Amino acid sequence: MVNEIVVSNVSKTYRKTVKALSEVSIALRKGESVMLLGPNGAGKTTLIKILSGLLSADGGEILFDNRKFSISEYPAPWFGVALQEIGLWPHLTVAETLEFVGRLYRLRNEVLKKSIARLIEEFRLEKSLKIRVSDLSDGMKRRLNLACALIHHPPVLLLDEPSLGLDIEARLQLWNYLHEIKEKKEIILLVSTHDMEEAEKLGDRIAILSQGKLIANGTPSQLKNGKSSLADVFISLTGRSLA
Amino acid sequence: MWLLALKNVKDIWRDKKIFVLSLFFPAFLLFVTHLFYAHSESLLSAIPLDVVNPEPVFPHVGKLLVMAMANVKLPQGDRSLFKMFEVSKKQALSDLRSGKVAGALFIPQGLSQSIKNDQSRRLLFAVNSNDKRSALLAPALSSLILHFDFLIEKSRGKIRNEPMTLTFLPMGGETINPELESFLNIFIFALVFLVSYVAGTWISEFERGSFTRFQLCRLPEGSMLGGTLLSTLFLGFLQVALLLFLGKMIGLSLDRLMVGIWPFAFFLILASVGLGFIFASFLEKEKQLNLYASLFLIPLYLLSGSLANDLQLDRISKFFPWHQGYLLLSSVLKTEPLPGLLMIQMIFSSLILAMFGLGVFSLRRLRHG
Repeated sequence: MVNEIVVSNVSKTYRKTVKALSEVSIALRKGESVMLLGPNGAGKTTLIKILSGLLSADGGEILFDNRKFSISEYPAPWFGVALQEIGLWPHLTVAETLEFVGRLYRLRNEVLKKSIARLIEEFRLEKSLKIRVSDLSDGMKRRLNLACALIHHPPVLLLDEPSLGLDIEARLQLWNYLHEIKEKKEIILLVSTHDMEEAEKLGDRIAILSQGKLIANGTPSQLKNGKSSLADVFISLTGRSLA
Repeated sequence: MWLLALKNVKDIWRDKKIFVLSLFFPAFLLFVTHLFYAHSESLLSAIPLDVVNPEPVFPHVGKLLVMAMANVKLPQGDRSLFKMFEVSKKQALSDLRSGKVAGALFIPQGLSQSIKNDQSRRLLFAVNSNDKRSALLAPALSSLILHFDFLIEKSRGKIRNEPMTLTFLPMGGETINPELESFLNIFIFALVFLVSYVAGTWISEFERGSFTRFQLCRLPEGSMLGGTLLSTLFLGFLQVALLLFLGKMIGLSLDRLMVGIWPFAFFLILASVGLGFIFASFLEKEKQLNLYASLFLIPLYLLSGSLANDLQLDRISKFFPWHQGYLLLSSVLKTEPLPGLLMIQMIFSSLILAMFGLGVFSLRRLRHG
């Protein structure tokens, strides 16, 4: 559906004073995973929200295979988005949540059934189907949140700090799953993170944001360029640590 | 729209807070009121009342008032509300002190002449506070006198030029029934929980981030608003049905109110949805809602407490069942019910409030998050 998204000089200012993004340019390609690295307030979430159509940019443009869309025509359903807040409904069960989200995306019955069956298997949700979201652990909620983002087979997956708050086991499971997605799905994958290890493990390319500016963009080996770790790269570029 | 409505209905069934506040609490209040007023009708029957009437001859106002009061009946069993004794002022005071009567009405000298001359006069009534019926008798007499005062005002132009021929209280059709009044008050009071439900539903959607999923799916605004409206109608009608069912169970003579309350409920629910959306437009967190809902709840409770004009309930239900509905609104607006016109006022007020709420919410929250 889409092979390339090109973000050019995108800027965003909140309440006319807080500059969240400043002329950020980045290209996202099918089959490639890009890890968006940066400290709190760097503009990672803002960029993801702008890409997914939740926020409008103050300047710049976003091209989908060289096509530009207006706000009303913006292809929001092309995106599978999992934001930091787990936007689920506490009184619905896992099965009901998947069905509800699928129907929100207007999936037809047959497609929806197949999609739910696939996600249940991939995210190992079989035993939790009748459990209400309010009774799930945080890790399970994040898995379900991710499953919801994928229910409509989106060609672009945007994840905002997906491993936040997960224990080591859940984090490893998530990494494995994202690795599988990356290998199998041939989708565009953009993941924001604080975690250097996560970025290095999952990213074909790493983009570093600091104070709303894109200060580096390349493969892990290109960025390291002789330095021992990504952390060193980050500190040398920004003069601050990620913590 | 239906999808969201169905999800919201599931929430209503499963969210104990909504269930308890919107359904259990009003039902509990009705039950408690029943405990207080269960025997009020038998207590109110044939209440001994002294009348000091210096105008005992027809067509003087004093005579008309005494005649009308003698014909105020309870709906069941054709029982008179008052057992009246026309006595002197001295005798009335003595009877009050000895507890022989529950109350006394003092009609002033020259009342008819004063009314003809467009002058104010004061009717005085006293109740025996040691009598257990006094708590019911005082408001009952007060209502009667207010009603009487209104009719005099209404017919003032007429009585200036010709002998007074007041169309007084319809004979034998009036009732005072605190329990039935309480039913209506609780019905109005319960609406505050619908306001809270609508506002709470959306504030939660924003707080937990599930609203962004609606945005990502490009769910139309109309579906969001319509879905909430449908689920609130479901909750509101469930509330009314439960109150009517309980009312019947505890032996309230609801009569035509059983039918008449539904269209009225429909418009009040619409208004509640509008109000709920206004709350949701300006409040950011559920904690704020709890605070503001409490501030809103107290005046609404006071308002609902002053709503039902008992004297008019039965009379109105004689015409059309749904008149019960706009009777309540007329009490709020402090106007005499005007068939048709007031109903139209009510419909428009509810629609305007609902549309205003939906509009504000749509512009402020749905479009700008």
